[in-house]
Amino acid sequence: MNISVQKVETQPKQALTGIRVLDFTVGGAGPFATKALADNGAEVIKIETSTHYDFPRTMGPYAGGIKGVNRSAYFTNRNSSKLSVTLNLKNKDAVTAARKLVKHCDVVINNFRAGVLDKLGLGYQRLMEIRPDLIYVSMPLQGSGGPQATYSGVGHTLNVLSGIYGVTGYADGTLVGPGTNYPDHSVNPGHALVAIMGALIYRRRTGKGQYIEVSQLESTMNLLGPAIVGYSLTHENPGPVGNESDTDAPYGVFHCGNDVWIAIAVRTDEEWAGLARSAAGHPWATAAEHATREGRVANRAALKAGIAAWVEGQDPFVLMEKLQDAGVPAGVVQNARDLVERDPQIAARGNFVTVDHPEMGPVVYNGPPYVLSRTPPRIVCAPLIGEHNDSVFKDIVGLDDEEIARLRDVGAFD
Amino acid sequence: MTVHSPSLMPGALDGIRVIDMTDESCVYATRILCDLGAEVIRVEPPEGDPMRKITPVDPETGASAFYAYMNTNKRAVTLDIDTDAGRDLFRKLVGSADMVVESTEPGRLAELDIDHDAFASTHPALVWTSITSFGRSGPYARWKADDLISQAMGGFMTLSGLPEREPLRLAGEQTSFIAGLHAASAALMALWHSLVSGEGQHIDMSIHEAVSHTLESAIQVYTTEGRIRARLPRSSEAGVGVFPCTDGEIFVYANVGMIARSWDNIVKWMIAEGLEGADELAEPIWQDLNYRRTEEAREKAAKVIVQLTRNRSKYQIYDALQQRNILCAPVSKVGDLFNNPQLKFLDWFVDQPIGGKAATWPGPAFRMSETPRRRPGRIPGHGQDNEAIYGNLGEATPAKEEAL
Repeated sequence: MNISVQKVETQPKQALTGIRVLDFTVGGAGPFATKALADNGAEVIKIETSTHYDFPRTMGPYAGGIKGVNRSAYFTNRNSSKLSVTLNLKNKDAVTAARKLVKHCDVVINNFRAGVLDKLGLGYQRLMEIRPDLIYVSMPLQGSGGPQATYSGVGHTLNVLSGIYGVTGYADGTLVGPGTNYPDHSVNPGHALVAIMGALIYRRRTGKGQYIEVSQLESTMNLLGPAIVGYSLTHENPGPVGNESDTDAPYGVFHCGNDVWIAIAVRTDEEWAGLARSAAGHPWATAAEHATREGRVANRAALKAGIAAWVEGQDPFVLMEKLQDAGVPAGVVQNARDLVERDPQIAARGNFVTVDHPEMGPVVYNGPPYVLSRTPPRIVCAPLIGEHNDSVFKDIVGLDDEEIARLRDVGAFD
Repeated sequence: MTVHSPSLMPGALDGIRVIDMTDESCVYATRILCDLGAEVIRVEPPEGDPMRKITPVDPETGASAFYAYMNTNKRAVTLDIDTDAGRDLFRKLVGSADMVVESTEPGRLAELDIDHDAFASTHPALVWTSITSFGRSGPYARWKADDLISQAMGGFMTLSGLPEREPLRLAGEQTSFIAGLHAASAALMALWHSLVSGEGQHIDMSIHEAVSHTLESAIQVYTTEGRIRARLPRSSEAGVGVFPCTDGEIFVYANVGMIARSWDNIVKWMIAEGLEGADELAEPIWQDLNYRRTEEAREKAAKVIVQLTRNRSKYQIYDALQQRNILCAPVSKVGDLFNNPQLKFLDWFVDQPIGGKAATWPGPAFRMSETPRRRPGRIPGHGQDNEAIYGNLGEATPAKEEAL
């Protein structure tokens, strides 16, 4: 398998060592942002409750297919390297405990609906009294005011609301949209992260904290930035283009067999020459009019049919190597098994990492998609629910055993 | 036409200079650094930046909306790294900078002795981010990819598209956003470390890995349960699908099991409305995901839901469903987005002309109370800032044929 076991040698320093984050986020978009902070050395304290589990804990996939709140790999992959504290925020002592923690934190982040934490006394204004230079991040779905601010959504509805669905489909006009809760795993955590890092850098320069709002709708719509600006200039709605290109041919995906496909993207005459060499003897490859982009684009339908017939039945991975060796951008449409079991590039760079988990056994994580030469990121096992209740309140807040026992007894740690 | 003056508010990255040599595969990285207030100097080849031709292009002015969106507020200089004079200029530029973000082919800058290694000892605090299709090491390091190839190999396309048709890429150069944001966040973490410790570093960012990081739980579904996630029908289960309204379509996501009890809520409403076939949907079998995924279940549910949607406008049904805590969203073409009542209320869109022609831009991706993002402004022309930037480096603009 394509999985690296992380070397536990003397740990080098990490980029965000010394930064502490109080993390109220749930689901995907928020936890993915704080995961990156945690994997890079920040101490991220995830606040959860067993009265209402963070839903990835109860959705699976589960280790060995066996259900359990400490067995979900959906949860672990979004919460590596974090600490877990359970606080039932409906309990006043739990809110007081959370406020005590804030004093020791650089960043507080949540992705609840607008206003939820404010009602609990954990809004920015109140927490700033405790920690004046706090960086406070809210990630509501659609901002904190306005006629639809309280509306709910998930990544799939955001795909549609933001317009991504409206441009993603086949060239015949059939709309399909992304097959995942796409914004949760891309722009929304990404924008939250860069805003937090910007705010930390600003605080270092000025001593000032600030309030950050990542409205998930506003964030996601920037994915369509060029299309929005383009529409405002031309007033023409961009239609779905499928896998084709307006300007290049051949360009698209081709079937090899058994629903395995290869993408081929010829953008220059040199790349075309490479493809033509690889398919020597086929009439479409030797046709003189295909030597130029104009000729290929004019003839794109026939060219596509010729290549489709040539590709059908070929081994996709052998063909990919052959084309890449000839300088042609080509890639198999890989599935999860291909990436985990076969992809030699993922393997060589150790991008998927296995870490042992006390209940799940070995668990595979997607590592960060970058290597930092001096402060490498590191994946630490995602926490069991409430695993760090005692240590966080003892070591960070300084509560004594008696007070911790009392909090447990009154249900603050539920 | 409104002309906006620069913001009086500080930027989070004021005083940080970034040298930008990214292409469309990741240029959003430097756009976002520029939004945050960094001075981003885009280095373009003397013969012209190919990004200036990327569609959508306005047929009247020839302006690329892609280029404009990705490069507003940056400064643009020209420089030919294949000449000695051009490389000298590049060295001086890098010497004046805090960060470099580039997506040149692996090995190209090393051959010219202007890669990160060439600066590491003389500029120890420098943060240098190299973004490549597959990362700079490994057997595919020199392979070629673009947005389509990256979405294919990274696994994203196996999750999108209809099962009976070909796998589908997402529109709009999405890898630029996926990879760009990972790169920008890694670069800022390294900048933080550099500011704290004085120690710069090199970041080797792989677009392939960034895409494979965007597969929801597909990797974990395989490694824990051995299942391979694949493309699903548009209506992935009963209660989920796109339904007709009087003026368009509404996407309804009335599933079971997620954060909202959308299915239970919509069934309750449909029964209260006395819709034909609604009563049956309250039976226990409709809580079983395996049943919900059958064609029979999907069609039965759709026949009832359409009775709710077909006589209402998409915003009427959107409001009515949301008020009952049922996940949904109106289907929008790009042109419809400008009429979103929430975004209108928030006064989110920004008017700022491009090439003398009125244009409307997306508002901020995030809002910061002390350091608001830079609003869209000037689109730099080819080599427009050569004199200003090179002049400040103590360099007269060299003879054009030589370096620029």
